Amino acid sequence: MNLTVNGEVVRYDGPARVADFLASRRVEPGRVAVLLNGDLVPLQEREQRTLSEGDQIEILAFAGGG
Amino acid sequence: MTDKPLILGGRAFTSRLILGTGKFADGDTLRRAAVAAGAQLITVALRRFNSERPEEDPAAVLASLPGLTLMPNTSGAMNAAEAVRAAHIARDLCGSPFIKVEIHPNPHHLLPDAIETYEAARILAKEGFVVMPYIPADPVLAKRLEEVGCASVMPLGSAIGSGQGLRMWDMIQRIVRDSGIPVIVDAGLRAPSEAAAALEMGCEAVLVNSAIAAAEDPARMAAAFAAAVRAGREARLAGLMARGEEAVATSPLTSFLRKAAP
Repeated sequence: MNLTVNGEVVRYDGPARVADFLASRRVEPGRVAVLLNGDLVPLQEREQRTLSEGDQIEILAFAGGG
Repeated sequence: MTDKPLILGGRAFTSRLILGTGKFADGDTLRRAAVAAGAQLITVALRRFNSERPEEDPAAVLASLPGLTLMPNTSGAMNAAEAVRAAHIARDLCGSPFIKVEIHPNPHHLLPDAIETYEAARILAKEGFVVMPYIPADPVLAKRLEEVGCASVMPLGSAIGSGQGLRMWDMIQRIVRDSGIPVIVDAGLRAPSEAAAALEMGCEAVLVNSAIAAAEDPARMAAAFAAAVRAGREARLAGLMARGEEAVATSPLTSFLRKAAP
């Protein structure tokens, strides 16, 4: 399926659970926040929620800031 | 010397130096600066995840240090709605109730938008966040933010990253005099002496980032700021002498050295 990840269109054909998708991106689960089509997907829901064609995903992390 | 801890959101902090984590050359430099600062409250920003450089996450870099509380900021938010959204994302990410509300839509001066900041602070305080707004040095706004339940107000000393020091001195003094919540100078400090001056004036803490991160030796500068903050706080507690217009002699002005007239 095609997904928009952090503004970039990517092809993804792995398992559709959000947790699996994140693992494929080498993301440490506790270090990111995930928005699926604008809605927060908390850590404990990422095993249940699944992705589908055209979904927009934002993966956010902390960075240095004052 | 005994001092009461700084209470923010029901938590006690013995350090009055809040450290920003931007602009550090690398994680190791940041970690050494955080240790030297003795920081207990640390700001972080949100941004899109970069799988190429995940080590840049300051929360990960500092995870091994005990007793740190994270205070995410809402930097990048252009209005109250975006700031509230950033706060929700940040809380999901780290679980900390602290949020530095920071809304500065103009990239040229990065001055805070008072109206949007007030609105975001009001909403987030009602939702139970420990709200720490970065604000213009406006005593009326500061009072209004106290009334809606902010944990502190953080007026700027001068523009973010400018190193121009306490340009807002008079207004910050007015805020301190009237405030029932801690006043924390955020932004613009360059030298530890300015941090000491802020604490002497009655500010409860300072938030420093660029002055430490951009120093030649960040860890050493962090230690210098920590010492200055302690000195300023001690001076505040000790009570500064009154300022006068005329000289007042500290030694006896007797006339025994003068030769008697013949």
